Amino acid sequence: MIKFKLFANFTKEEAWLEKMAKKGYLLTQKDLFYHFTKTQATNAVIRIDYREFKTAADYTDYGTLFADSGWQLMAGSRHSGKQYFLKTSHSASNDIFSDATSRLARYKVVYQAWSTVTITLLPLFVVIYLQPDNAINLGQFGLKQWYYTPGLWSLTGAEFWGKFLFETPFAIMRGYGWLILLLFFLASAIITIVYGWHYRAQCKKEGG
Amino acid sequence: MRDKALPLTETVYYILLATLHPTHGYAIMQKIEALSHGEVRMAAGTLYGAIDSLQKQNLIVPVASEDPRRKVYQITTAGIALLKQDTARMQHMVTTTTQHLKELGL
Repeated sequence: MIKFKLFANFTKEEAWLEKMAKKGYLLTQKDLFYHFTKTQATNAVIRIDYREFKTAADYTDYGTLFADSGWQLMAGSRHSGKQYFLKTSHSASNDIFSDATSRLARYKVVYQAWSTVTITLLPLFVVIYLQPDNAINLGQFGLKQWYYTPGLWSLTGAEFWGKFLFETPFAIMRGYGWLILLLFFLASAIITIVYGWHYRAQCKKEGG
Repeated sequence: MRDKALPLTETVYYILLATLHPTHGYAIMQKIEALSHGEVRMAAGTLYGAIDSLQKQNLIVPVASEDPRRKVYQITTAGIALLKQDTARMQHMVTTTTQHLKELGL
């Protein structure tokens, strides 16, 4: 089963995944979607860490440390950030963190990563805006003028479609590249704000 | 002047102590539990974060490991110096406190 859901709170995401396990759906993979496999209903304990790794050896070492201490990596990859763990040993404690600082550090890492993206994207808009013939200034929202192939519109049949389809991705980038970039910028700005807010809220709760 | 890293947290102190001999992650966790008589039990996420941060500060380094799945860490010269300084700091506190309590007959 595949599900789409957005979370900005690790604790709520863990609780949801545990509820899914109780219904007999265990997480096996996470990309844009949550991939579940049907199993017996279990009272699973699931915890999420947030970390990226420079080398494959680092990632293996990380996974082994958790496995040794009773936590099986159920979903995640070297660059996924979020790492999902399933408790496999009765002797392990119910958390992958033993102090408040490291529990909070997850939010801090996500916040810092996304604020870097947001800040990096900002000058790009200045550059695009300063170009005299940019799409924003010209107010040209029709796609047709972004096709530069000479005489394209007087062609017919297979020749037209061949050239038309070939240039379409370029035309979209010329005319709407800034819009795609803007949407990405807004999304990253929202994620930054949400995680920053969560980090502050959790800090207050922990008294840190 | 006293090192800015002092005083060490209990967990950092124990990680440095545990890596006097080359030790892998889970073994560090077990050593800390034994050294602290079960008082300090570190969870995997917290330990990994601490190991990462100590490596960045060059207080511990990864050394050759026979097991490709487990990295082995050992304390550095800088790490040993810091551990010694913090031990001396605590030693002083213990001596002073014991002496003052003794004078008062407590």
